[in-house]
Amino acid sequence: MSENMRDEIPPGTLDMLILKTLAKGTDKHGFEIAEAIRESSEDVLHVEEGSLYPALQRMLIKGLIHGEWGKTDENRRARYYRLTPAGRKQLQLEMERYQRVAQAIARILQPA
Amino acid sequence: MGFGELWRRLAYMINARKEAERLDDEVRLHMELRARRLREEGVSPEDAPYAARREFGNRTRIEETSHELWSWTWLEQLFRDLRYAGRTLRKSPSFSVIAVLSLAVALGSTTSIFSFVRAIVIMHLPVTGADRLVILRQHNEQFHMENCCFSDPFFQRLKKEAVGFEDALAVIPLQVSLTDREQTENVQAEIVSGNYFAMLGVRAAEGRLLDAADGSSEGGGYVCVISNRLWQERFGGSADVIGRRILLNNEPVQIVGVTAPGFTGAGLHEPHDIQVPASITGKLFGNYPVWLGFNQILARLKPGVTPAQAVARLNVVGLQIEKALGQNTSPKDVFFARDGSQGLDSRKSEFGKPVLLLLGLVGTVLLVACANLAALLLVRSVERTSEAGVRLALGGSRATLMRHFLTESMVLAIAGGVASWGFGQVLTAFLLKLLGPQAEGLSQFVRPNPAVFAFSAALTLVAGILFGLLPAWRAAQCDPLLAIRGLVNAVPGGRSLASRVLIAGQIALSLVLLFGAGLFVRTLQNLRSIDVGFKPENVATLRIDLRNTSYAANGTPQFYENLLRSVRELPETRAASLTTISVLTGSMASTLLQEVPAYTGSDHMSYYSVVSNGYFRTLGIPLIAGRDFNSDDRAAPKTEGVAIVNEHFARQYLSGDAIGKAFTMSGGRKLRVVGVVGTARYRWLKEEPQSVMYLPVTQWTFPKSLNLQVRTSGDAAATLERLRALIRRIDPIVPVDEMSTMEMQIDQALARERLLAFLSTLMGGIAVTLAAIGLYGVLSFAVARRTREIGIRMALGAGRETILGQFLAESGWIVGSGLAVGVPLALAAGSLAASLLYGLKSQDILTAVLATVVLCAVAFSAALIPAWRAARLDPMGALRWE
Repeated sequence: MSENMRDEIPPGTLDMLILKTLAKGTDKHGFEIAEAIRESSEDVLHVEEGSLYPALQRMLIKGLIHGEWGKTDENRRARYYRLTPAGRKQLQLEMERYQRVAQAIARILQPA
Repeated sequence: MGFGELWRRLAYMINARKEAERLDDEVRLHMELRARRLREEGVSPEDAPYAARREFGNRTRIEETSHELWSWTWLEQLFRDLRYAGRTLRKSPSFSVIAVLSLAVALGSTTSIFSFVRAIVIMHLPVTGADRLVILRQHNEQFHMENCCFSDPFFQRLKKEAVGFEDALAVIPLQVSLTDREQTENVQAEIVSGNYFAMLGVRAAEGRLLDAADGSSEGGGYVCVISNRLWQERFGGSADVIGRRILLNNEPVQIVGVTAPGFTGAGLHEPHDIQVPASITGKLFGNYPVWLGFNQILARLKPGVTPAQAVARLNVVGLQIEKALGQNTSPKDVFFARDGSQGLDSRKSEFGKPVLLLLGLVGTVLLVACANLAALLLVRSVERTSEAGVRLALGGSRATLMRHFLTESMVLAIAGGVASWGFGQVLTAFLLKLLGPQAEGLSQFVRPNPAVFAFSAALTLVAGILFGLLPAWRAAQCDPLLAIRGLVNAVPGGRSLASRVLIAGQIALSLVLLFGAGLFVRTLQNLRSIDVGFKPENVATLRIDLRNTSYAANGTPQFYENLLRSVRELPETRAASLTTISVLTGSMASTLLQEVPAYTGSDHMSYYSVVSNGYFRTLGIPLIAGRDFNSDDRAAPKTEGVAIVNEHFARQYLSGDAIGKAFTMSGGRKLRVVGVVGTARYRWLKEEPQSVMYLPVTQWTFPKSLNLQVRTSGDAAATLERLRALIRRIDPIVPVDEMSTMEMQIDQALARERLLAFLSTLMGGIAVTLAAIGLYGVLSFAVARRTREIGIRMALGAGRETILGQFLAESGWIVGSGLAVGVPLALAAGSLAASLLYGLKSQDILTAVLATVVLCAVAFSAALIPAWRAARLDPMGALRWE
């Protein structure tokens, strides 16, 4: 099964991935976010879908995202999430941090 | 936690159930969409929902996690703990009441005394660099006293010299009558040098303050600045007060400014609400010779300069200036620099040590109260062993158990803390009353304020932890297996050694407090039984001031003679007289004797009072030889006059046999002694016998301000009002103040001692009561726990006396070991109070014995009840006791 091919996402990066996903394009509900992460990473990254919701709640508390109830194309009730200005700033910070760390790791791993 | 987050959390809490449903909706939608997607990917329709669920993970856990993220779990837990603690405490109301009451008293007293310590010891004058302020004083070798004041030329020249002062200012405090819109009242004021406000860094709330120009411009300086306090209380805080003309001592003066809130002159403990420039000194204060000094000098040291350095410099420069000014000073007239951080008239030297000592006393009571509660809680924690055991056996953690016990003690502490605030207010008000007029300047600082509140809150929390920690820890240590079987020994050291040690500690501290109380009570008794040399009972005294009335120019003698005649006609008057000095108030007048024939000693100083005839009869000072003044003593000033001297004077200067001898006093006037009276205390209650001479008011420039003193047949205090009415009838505009009785005046002189005696007795009583309660509690518990053992021993033939003796002996051990520590501790602590005692030593054995006896008696009665109960047990019932 394809599941074996997918990697667990690195700890601590789920928030960043959600923020990034919300940063591009339209407001999304939970399932759309999960699917978007999976698609963008070309099916490499596997989000444990259950952990998505506590992460969303955490960011709601911190005011990084804003949730609004709406209807899906099929007329189902769903909460659509959108970045707040604070969230946009947070995403910026996290991406910079991530890039610093990734570059550092890459340098260490470079074949001599 | 930001404000936004707080708000979102609150909003979530209010809608908690709805929010949970919403999350549920989201999750359900997610599952359905995932299942559909899986079906599209080829998973069979039956398997798809399960696969979706697998991929989602543990749904319940996720929902719980989300909920916990939002709510304050700790807050909910706290509420649960508080409810639990409240339930437990309600189950033993007598314990809870004792705990809350004892804490309220101990915390309240500590808070109240702390507010006094803050006002008297800690606070500084609210001005720039208050910690570097010093008050300049000079020793006066001739009069054996400390000179407070300096002349204007001295101050002006001193300012130009480099003695290590950053700046120095001069103040003359005085009382003025303030008249505004037909209303007159007396207000404390200061005549200040031009640099006063600039140096102190005081800002104006309204208008402007005084500067050098106000001080120098002759006649142009009819201006004043008032304090914020006076502005609010007298002028209602209205803005039009600037530019307003008021009368000070009947002189028109314009208000030009209001000082910033919190500033009331150059003395922290003696508020002065008006400042006027030196240029109107003559109008307010009267003109005086330029060499006379009334200026108190307050100087600020340069950073890094010590008071000793400045004084060393001053002893050279200052004496040079005085010589240059032609003053007759000797090299022994050295300068001092007193601590000026609280400005003039600080109460620190008189009351600083007593209040710190009192803080020690109340702190000790607080310790006793904590020890008491810790002991009682320890006993309770043993009683609750089975509860603790069951909870541990059911899987409760020791940490939770400890938290519950601690919450209980914190609930008690906080309840006690809240109640203590009320008790503290009552005590503070009472102490202010006890201190009398001396405390007027303090009252504004001991009112409830944030600093004291913070102290009280912190103290409450510390106390709660102090008495709660050990019992909580002990309860959590219990062995669940043993506990469930109902064995109290499940708690380590089950014989409650710890609680016994705590009780013994309480006994020791209580003894220290009782001993201290004994010392202060006996000091007060000793002071009260001092033979003052006159009879203070039934003497009314009041002061009349004619300086700002039309009598000032002429008619003063007539007014006073009229007054005396009218007063002597009152039915209750036994004797009435006038005097310049009201004794035992600290006021005095002194002079130097110039020529005393046949006297060879070096000392020439004598105190004096100018009095009317009848003075000795009024005060009850015995006339030993010669006669009282009479209406014939009317020689004009300058010619030979008469004097009455006290025995001490007669012995010191006139070799005992004084009648008919003459001497010359400072100024050159010759006086002949016509009478000798007993030596009565003059200035202070505690003074050594002093030489005092009495001069007839009729032979001197009649003083404008005099004290009227009346010996009455009944209550002197009741006569005061009649005297005031009488004076008003003679002339309604004559100001009368300092209405008092001689006995009240002595009480005032003993304010400090009364304060110490009262509070130390109160604290000693509380400590002993608490120790008794603790002993009773621990012993009652021991009896209850050993009921079965007692039953067995009785069944085996032990008599009731044996059982009684056993429990009394047990308490004897506790009390004995407490005393063994307490007696040496008390004797050592006594030396702290040595300087505040009178007529007994700080290691007074009688007091120590008395304290021990009282403590033993109380402890014995507390122990007797449970011991008696043990001895009265029915052996059969005791055996079956579970």
